[in-house]
Amino acid sequence: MDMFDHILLGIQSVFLSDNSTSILGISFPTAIVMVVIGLIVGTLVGATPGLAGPMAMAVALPILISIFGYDRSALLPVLGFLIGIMKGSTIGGAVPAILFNTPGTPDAVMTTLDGTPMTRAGQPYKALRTAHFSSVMGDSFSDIILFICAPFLALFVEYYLDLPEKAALIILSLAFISVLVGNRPDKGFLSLGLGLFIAYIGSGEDFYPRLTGDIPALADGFPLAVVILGVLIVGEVFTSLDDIGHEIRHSGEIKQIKQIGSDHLTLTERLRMLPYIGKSALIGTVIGALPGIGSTMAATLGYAAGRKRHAKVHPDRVQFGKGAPEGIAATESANSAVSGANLIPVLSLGIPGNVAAVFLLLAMDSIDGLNPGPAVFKIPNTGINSEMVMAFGLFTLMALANAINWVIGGRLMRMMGVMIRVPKQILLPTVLVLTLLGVYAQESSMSALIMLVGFGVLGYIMRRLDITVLPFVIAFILGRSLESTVRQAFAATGSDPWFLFSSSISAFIISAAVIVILYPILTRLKKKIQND
Amino acid sequence: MLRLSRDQKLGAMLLVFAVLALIFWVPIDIDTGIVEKVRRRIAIGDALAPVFALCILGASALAMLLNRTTKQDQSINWRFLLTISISFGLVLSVMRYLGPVVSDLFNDESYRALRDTAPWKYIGFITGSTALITILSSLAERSFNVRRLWIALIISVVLALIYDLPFKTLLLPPNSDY
Repeated sequence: MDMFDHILLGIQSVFLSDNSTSILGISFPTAIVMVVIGLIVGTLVGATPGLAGPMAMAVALPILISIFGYDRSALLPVLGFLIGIMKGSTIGGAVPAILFNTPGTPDAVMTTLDGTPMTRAGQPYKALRTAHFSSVMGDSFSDIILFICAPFLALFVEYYLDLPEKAALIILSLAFISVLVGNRPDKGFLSLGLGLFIAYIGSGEDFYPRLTGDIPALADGFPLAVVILGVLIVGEVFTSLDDIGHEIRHSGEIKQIKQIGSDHLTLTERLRMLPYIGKSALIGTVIGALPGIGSTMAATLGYAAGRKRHAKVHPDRVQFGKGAPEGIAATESANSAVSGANLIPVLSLGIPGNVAAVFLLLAMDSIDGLNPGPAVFKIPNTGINSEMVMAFGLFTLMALANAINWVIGGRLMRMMGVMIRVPKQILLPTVLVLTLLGVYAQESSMSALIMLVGFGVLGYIMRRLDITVLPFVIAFILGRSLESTVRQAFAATGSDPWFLFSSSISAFIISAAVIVILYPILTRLKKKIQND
Repeated sequence: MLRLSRDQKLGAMLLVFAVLALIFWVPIDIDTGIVEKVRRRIAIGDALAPVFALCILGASALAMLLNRTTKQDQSINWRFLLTISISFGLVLSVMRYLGPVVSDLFNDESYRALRDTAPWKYIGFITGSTALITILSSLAERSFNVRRLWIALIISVVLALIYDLPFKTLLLPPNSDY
């Protein structure tokens, strides 16, 4: 059987499955029902400040397995629900980022750059419509590419990217984020260095947990949720509460956001966004296909590419960072385009590109029927590759989730917009309590809450000193992965200290990283010489 | 006299931290070096990654120290930070200990046996959460009224029920600690 037969069988496994659920007397395939429920739950979770998709996936996975079991027939319903949450929370996540400047995930940080200024300018619903339109467009593009190219891209990635190349890619993504996000590269690198240093506390391979001063609570390092939610959400809540205090002191009242002008996106506005969406969707798809990099880098690169184009082609329009809808479009399209292509390294190499993909892998690992690895996309000489059929079933669910997202996602998102009517001085402390609950549910320890507040204070100080928090967060996420990849690459190349230059691809990636780091320094020097 | 901007002072402080950490903290608190010999093969030690991070931190701090840009939009509100820290200290203590104290007064059983039983499991969280929402919103508005206390109580009860009722395996703070 050839590739086309496998694709057909994959689609059939979703629509003609024996596993069905009856709603109002009509029978629907269970996998499809689960996608719809997952999408609704995901949007609600993503739109609730303080909660994020991976958190809901973590809670849902054991419940789903206890309902559906571990055998093959459970795979598509369970993955369908998780995919629904993943896609729903991606669009839902834009809601708090746009309305309250509280991004629940690192990807959503870039959305705040233009979403929050648009909200402050009285266009919150237009910003939400922009986010939905561009997110679903990027996602659709990525899903089409996934269907057409997944098997070939999977073989390409497996063949060309070895350990040194992966280490080089992580270094490149860290360099990009430090230089491109924020106003000053030196502060970007400061944030990066701090994030890496904190990631290395309590980790390592030796029996003694490094840099812990023998404090047992630090032996396993700082938990991911504590650091990320602390800096991103608690830090932002502290900053906003302090700002409200300033507002009251200076003007005697708190500014409430009011809708100004139409909240609809016209066809002209949609067409105007298409070049940004297209470019970012391509960037997101390419980044998603690379192992272990993920949606945050895609969002950063998509935003950077869009910003450059916008400043050059449309210097007369509102610029990126000041409330440009194109800024939201570039970011949302890029990070949504990752989710489809991200399944390529997940299925072919078992390497997740973001936290959500980790739970997809965990589900595949727990349930029979699909073992991620190079065998998934190999066409057998005789018979069928049942894993490839399941993989195409999974892609069908992705496309289906996207189609449902087109229809109901925007409406769900705008329904969440009612939160903007809640007074900020009540909403922000509530977000804080929700974050405390979310972290406690994961860490089950009051000491985690103390650390959370500590990282919140750090986030507040960084914001006040105009140090962007995104490089810190990304460095913390990728820090340990960078170290383990470097260790493995060093060992695999026979302790070669020049392992990062052992192949032309890794040498090229490292050269690109050096150029990215040197570019702002050289530009500044050039300006200085010209001024002198 | 040399006058440094806020960013330059920050750069200087972090540069000193990075240098001191490289000279003292890393050698004292990490048992392996930058590289080590394992079974006659050279492997990367635990010190390499932190040294790499501190070098980035130090270099960027040096760049900040040398950068003479004086743009300064916002300042840190230390009084606000101190108030927030004290409030959290009090609230988290109330959340942690109130449930066991109240259950000790009215029960012979240990709190551990009661930690997933109403009303005991709600006491610490609802009191702490109500106090937190009230304190923070009053702090932001620089005023207090009883209506806000009631709103905070209602929000706390709703949040406790949202987390507690559908998920039987999840425990509200601080119940997993017992």
